[in-house]
Formats: sequence, structure tokens, C-alpha cells
Amino acid sequence: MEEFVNRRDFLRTFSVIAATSMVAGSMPWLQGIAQEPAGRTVRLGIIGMGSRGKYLHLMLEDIPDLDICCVCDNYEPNLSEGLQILGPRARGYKDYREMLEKEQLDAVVIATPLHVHAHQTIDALNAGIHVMCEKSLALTYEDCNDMVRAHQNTGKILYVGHQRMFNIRFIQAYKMIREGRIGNVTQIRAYWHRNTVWKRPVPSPELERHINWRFYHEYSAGIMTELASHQIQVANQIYDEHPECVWGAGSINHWKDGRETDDNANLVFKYPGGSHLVYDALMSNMHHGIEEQILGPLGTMELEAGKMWEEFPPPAPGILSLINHLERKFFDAVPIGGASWIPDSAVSRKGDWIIDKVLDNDGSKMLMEAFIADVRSNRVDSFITKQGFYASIAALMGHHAIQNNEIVHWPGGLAM
Amino acid sequence: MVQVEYRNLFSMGTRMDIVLPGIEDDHADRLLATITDQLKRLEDKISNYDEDSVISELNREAPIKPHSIDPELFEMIVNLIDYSERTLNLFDFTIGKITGSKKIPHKGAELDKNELEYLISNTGVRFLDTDPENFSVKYGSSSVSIDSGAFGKGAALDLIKDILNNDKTGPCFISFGESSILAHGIHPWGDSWKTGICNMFTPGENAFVMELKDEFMSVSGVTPLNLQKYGTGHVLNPRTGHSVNNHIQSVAAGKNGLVTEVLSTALLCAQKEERAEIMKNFPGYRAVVIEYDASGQPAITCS
Repeated sequence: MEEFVNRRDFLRTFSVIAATSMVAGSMPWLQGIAQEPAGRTVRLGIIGMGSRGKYLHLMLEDIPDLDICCVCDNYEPNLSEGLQILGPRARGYKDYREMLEKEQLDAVVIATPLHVHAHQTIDALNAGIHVMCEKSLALTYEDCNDMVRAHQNTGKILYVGHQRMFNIRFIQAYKMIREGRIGNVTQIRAYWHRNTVWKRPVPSPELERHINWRFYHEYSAGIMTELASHQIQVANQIYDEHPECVWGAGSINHWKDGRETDDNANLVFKYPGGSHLVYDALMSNMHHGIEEQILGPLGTMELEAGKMWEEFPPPAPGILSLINHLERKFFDAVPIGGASWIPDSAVSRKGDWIIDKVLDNDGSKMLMEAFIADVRSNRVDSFITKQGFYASIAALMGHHAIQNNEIVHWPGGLAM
Repeated sequence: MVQVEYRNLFSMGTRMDIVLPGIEDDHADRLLATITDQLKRLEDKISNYDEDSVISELNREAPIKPHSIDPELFEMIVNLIDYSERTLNLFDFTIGKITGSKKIPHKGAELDKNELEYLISNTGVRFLDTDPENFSVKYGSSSVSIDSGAFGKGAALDLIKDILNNDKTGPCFISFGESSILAHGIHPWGDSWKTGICNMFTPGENAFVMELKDEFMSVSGVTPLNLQKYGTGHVLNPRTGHSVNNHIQSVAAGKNGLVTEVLSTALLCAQKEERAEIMKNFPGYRAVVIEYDASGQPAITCS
């Protein structure tokens, strides 16, 4: 059975996973967190104190030598709640620019609606402040590109909130895939099925678009940027590529409540070499839940379930020798009941655990720890930026493919 | 090199290896799909682990009143009653309350002596009343509970044999957990499927070779690994409720999977003098019992 692990166990387990140089070299985003944190206090502000901002604060609050000194939100109830959570010493702002200007910040965490990520991130980076921005990066290719350019030009950290990169189960899976345990990955299937309206309560009608921004094209690409981007990131990392192109369809076939963004989507992302990510999302049925299925000629992994199955469990020794005899037109006895035979002992086809440990959260805690560790040591690694960038671009490609009913190719002239 | 297709599946908590020489891979996949589908249907019907299965429902209802079941399962139960009687009741599929109890030796505990004696005296096929008109079964004792583990694999292989016959599949060798074998047709390069029963003390050596020609074979046994894993044998003698604990293998072969399953179990529990008597009741079937002495030397008795 899986066993929950905390930070110390995470690091111990990670150090075991990373024991081979091949693996350690392929996981640069984890190098910062693996080091002992230095004593310098990091001053941090949070921009956006909605549900995600509050959750990220929870992930941050017990990190030593971290001073979460200010919070910004242009929605009064969120700002008040944020100040209450941060305590009497914290300062609150309605305008993030004022916060960046007045506070001597080392870093900010941005957990705001998608359409404002770009200018908030770029302004913070240009002010010399490290940024952890929630996924997806932005609503347009240009904004995503500008954010990455700002990261490159300023030399400041730009983390993107892909917590699966910090989930020990996913890390172990990457290692096993790199080692060839399921062979070359030939297909990834990912789905996110939920049976939910996905709508947040609105105190008064004029706030509908402000609060339920995920439903409106002006602010969000809906399923693609808010859900699919996580799973696209997983696929990109496993294929070690970004997709070449995508086609697909989406619609609103259930939640016809005035929303503009789709409540279902089906897409195929084509990767170099001819492998695909087959993606679908649905908001009117939760039977299948969420999963990323990694398929190769030697096995299958289900990363959310944390299980793997060998494609060809080796036959019993007697059966193997029978096959060899038959292939060579040789006639001999099939030995049955060899040394390992235990009559009537039950076996299971329930799959094997990818790792018998699981984080006590979805990886967000380690993501925050890694970000703060990198800020503290001023360690700028673009791997995670690249992952977030590619996932964001691919999510937007999917959105355009659905919107315009066309095959959308990877755009040229990008910063990475 | 001859094309040999190999497939495996898991059913009834057991792995099944399927070897299909001289067959196209599409054909093998189609067969596997049919077999998987039919085994799932059978398992849904007879599983003791699924509380919604027909057998589970029968075990709940039949002690109270006659309970009707589908004709296929009814016929199987009628046959099993007959087979049980022909094995001098040494094959007993009604002792599910004992085999399913957590208080049996290989699960690390023992039933209280009085409790065990009560269960033994109140189980057996004599407590099963069948009504062929209504396809119903009534248990004459609340201690009776059908244990499909005693016959499920044999029933599964019979089902597969029908599939292979209907499909006109060529020779095929199927091992269900290395204890239940279906040797369909004959080996393409020989005159039978020679199946070796490994010597449990001497790796790589066969204690006996059974030649199967379009037949089934079932092996029951108590191996050193059995005893090491459970501390005791896993087969219960239905007369005593106690485990068979000596190093022994019983092997039965013939034209029906259910019967060979019944025979190998019964012969494992039978006294020496009873074995021949049991086999007389099953014309056309053959069996061997392999008993190992303290030094691991096998002594083989053929019937």
C-alpha cells in the first residue's frame, strides 16, 4: 500500500530516485529543493487571494525564514480574508503595482485570473522580483512569449504552477520511463472528467464575469488553460518535446447557463515521431475521473492512480519452454508445477505501485518549497519555465483548434 | 520458425497462460476476447467474493427456501452432487463455511473443535435438495455454503473447451495457475501433449509425465512452499475439516475439466484403498498420486 510522506521523506526518497546521474541530470528543477535551505529570510507577497491563493499560502506558511509580508487582491472580500490569514503585520493592496513599488520583495506568488498573469508577471520580473505564476501562463501566445522574454532578460526566476513536477509519484514514473520500463512511450491518453457546474457563487450579478472568469473567453480558455494544461505538461515532459500540432472539437452540451467556454473537449496533440496525446475533458460525468495513461510496448502507467502494469508478464517457466519447443518444432514434456508453484495461491492483476509512497498533498507543497529554496539561493533554472511555457502554448493551440475548427501548428518565433 | 501466439489473462485470482501454435495474431486476440468475456460471465455467476454473484445469493437464500437459479448453473450443481457421491464424498463443495472461515489453519487460526465437528456433520451434498422443474436448490442445513473455489477452474476450462471447439481452433495448450490444464488437440509435432508434473523436491525433474490427447488435467498438491507459506496445507479433508499436510500431488486426466478438478481434490484426501474405488466410478479417467517420503523420494500410484 502507498504510504504518505512529508518533506523530509520526500527529500530522502528523491535522493534515492536521483541516485543515478542520468536521472539527476534529467531533473534539474529538483536540484534546488534538494539542498539545505540557507538562513536568509525571503520576503514574499501574494497577488490574488482567491481559493488558489489561499491554498498556496497554506503550502507556504510553515516554510522557515519566509516572511509573507503583503497581499494584493482587487476584490475586497478576498483582500480582507487574505489580511486576516496573514496576520496584523501584513499589508494589503488593491493594486499590485503599488505593492511591487512599496514593498522590498524578493518574490511574489501570482494566483490571479489568467488574463492578468502576463502584465503582473512582467512587471514583477522587471522590478527584480522572482515570480511563481499559477498555470497557465497567459491567454495569448504573445503574452506567454513576453513573460518568458522578461524572465530571460532579467535573469529572475519564473516558476509555473505545475505541481505534478513535484509529486514523488510522478518523479518516480519519469525515472522509470527514462529507464525504459514501459519501452518507448507510443501514446499518452489523458482525461479529466468531473460532474460539476464549475461555477463559483456570486454575491451580485455584476460580479459574475469577475468571479467566474473561467467561463468567459475574454479572461480564459476554460478547460484548456485551467485543466488540460496540467496534463499537457505531463505529456510534454514524458515525450521530452512539445506537440507539433493539434486538432479537436469541443462544445457546451450540458451546462447551458450562459458560459462561453466549453464544458467538454476532445483533442489529439501530435508529437514529433508520430506519438500522440489523446485528450478529453468532460464536465457532465465523473465516472472515469482524472488520469494520465502512459502507454508503451512493454507496459502501461496510470500516474494519478500510481499504478503500472507490465504488458507481457513473463510466462511461467514451463510455458516459456513449451513456446520455445513449439517454435523449433521440438516435442517434449511441458513441466508443470515448478519450484515456485504454490497450488491455488491467488495472484492479482491489480497492477503494481509505481512507488509505495505518496505525498500528503498534490505536490503543491514541494512546488512552493522548491520555489522559495531557489529564491533564497538565487538559483535560476529555466527548465520549469520551459515546461510551463510549452504547456501554456499547447493549451492555447488546443483552444484555437476547437474555436476555429482547424489543425493548429506550433507557432514559430517563440522565446524558447 | 513456427509462429506461436502467447496470451495470458487473470481470472478467479489466477493467471491463465494460453499457447496457440500456428495461429494468426488477430485470431489469437479474437479468441482471447471471447475467453475473457465468457470467464467474466462465469466469475460473475460463481464467485464467492462477489456478494452479488448467483452463488452468493444462493448461499444466502437457499438455507431459508428453495432458490431458483439459471439452468446452466443448476446443471453444474447437479453434476457436482453426483461427482461428490462418486468420490465417496471426499470432494465436497458444500463446506464453504469452513474453507471461507478465517479460522482455518492456513489462515493462522483454528475453528473450535466442537464448532468444526458441528459444521462437518451438517455439511455435505446430502443436504442439497434440487428441483429440476424449477431449477431450484434448497439447503437442508444452515451450515451449508457452496465453495466455488473447489470447482471454478474446471468449469472455466470446460467453457473454454467449448469456445475452442466452436471456433475450430487448432491445437492449444492452456495452463490455469499450473494446476488446471486444457490440452486441446495434440502437440503439432507429437502424438499428445506430454505434461510433466515437476518433482517438488528436485528442481528440473519430472516426477511423472502425463500424456494428454485433447484432454484436461488437474493437479492438487501440498508442496514445501505451501507449508512454508501457510504453515499447513491449503486443502481441507471434508471428513475431518483438517488440512492435508503431507507432501503429496494428485493428478487426474480425462475428457471433462470439472471431473478432473473433482478427482484431483478427492484423491488428495483419499486413503490409499479408497483411490481405486473412486476411480472405478469414473470410467475413462486416469490418475496418479505422488507421495514424497522424508528424503523427498516420490512414490507413484497409478489408477
